[in-house]
Amino acid sequence: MHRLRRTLDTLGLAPFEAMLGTVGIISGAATILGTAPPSIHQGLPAPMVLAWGVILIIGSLLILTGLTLQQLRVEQAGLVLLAATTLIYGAAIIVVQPAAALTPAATYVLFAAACLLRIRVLTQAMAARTLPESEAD
Amino acid sequence: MGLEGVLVGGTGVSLLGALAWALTFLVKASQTRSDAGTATVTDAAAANAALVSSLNGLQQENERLRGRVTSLEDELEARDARIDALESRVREMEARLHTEQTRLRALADELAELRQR
Repeated sequence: MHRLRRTLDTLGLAPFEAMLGTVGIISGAATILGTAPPSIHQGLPAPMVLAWGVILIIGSLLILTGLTLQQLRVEQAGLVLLAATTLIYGAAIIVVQPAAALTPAATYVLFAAACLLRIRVLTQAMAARTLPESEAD
Repeated sequence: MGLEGVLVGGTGVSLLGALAWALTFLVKASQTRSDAGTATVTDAAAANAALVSSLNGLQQENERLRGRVTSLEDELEARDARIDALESRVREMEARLHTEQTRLRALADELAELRQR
């Protein structure tokens, strides 16, 4: 019970990132099991769809692991993979369904941008942590 | 090459690039943990060296105190011997006192007898 509460507290520090990671695991697992998102399924060859799904799961797991264990580098590694897969998803939507692409494509491309911004923030946080207190002030 | 070709090529490049970038982060994470472990070992070695140095000091202090205890024991033995000698002397003087008192009593009896005559 105590451990669950602590995990929830830790995930609560970055709830959108945690939930996006959870969505990534669900979506990646569905892709591997054969029900890939339509745009990915139509736009990419089967091996690449599989690679997309696997990398999505790995990235999402790394994010959740990094958040839970407060390992910023691990979280950054997961964010890189999640950024790449969401960017690919957004691009696939634009290529496969150009007529109805704007909102979903913008959503995924901006999720990718959010991941990259988060990587930048974490890098700055780690740099600030290693600076002596006098310089940090 | 149409848009789909660009998508496939871009996907391949993006996935490979992302994997490479993610690996650099994971390697850095591993190095950070390794550095932290090395720092811990260094701290433990320094603490151990300090304890060994402190132990040497304590051993020297222990030897000094043992020497002091031995010297006090010798001094105590000498005092015991002196006390024994003094006690023996007191007993001897008590015996002489007893003898002199006996003689004095005999002389007093003799004097009383002479006065009666």
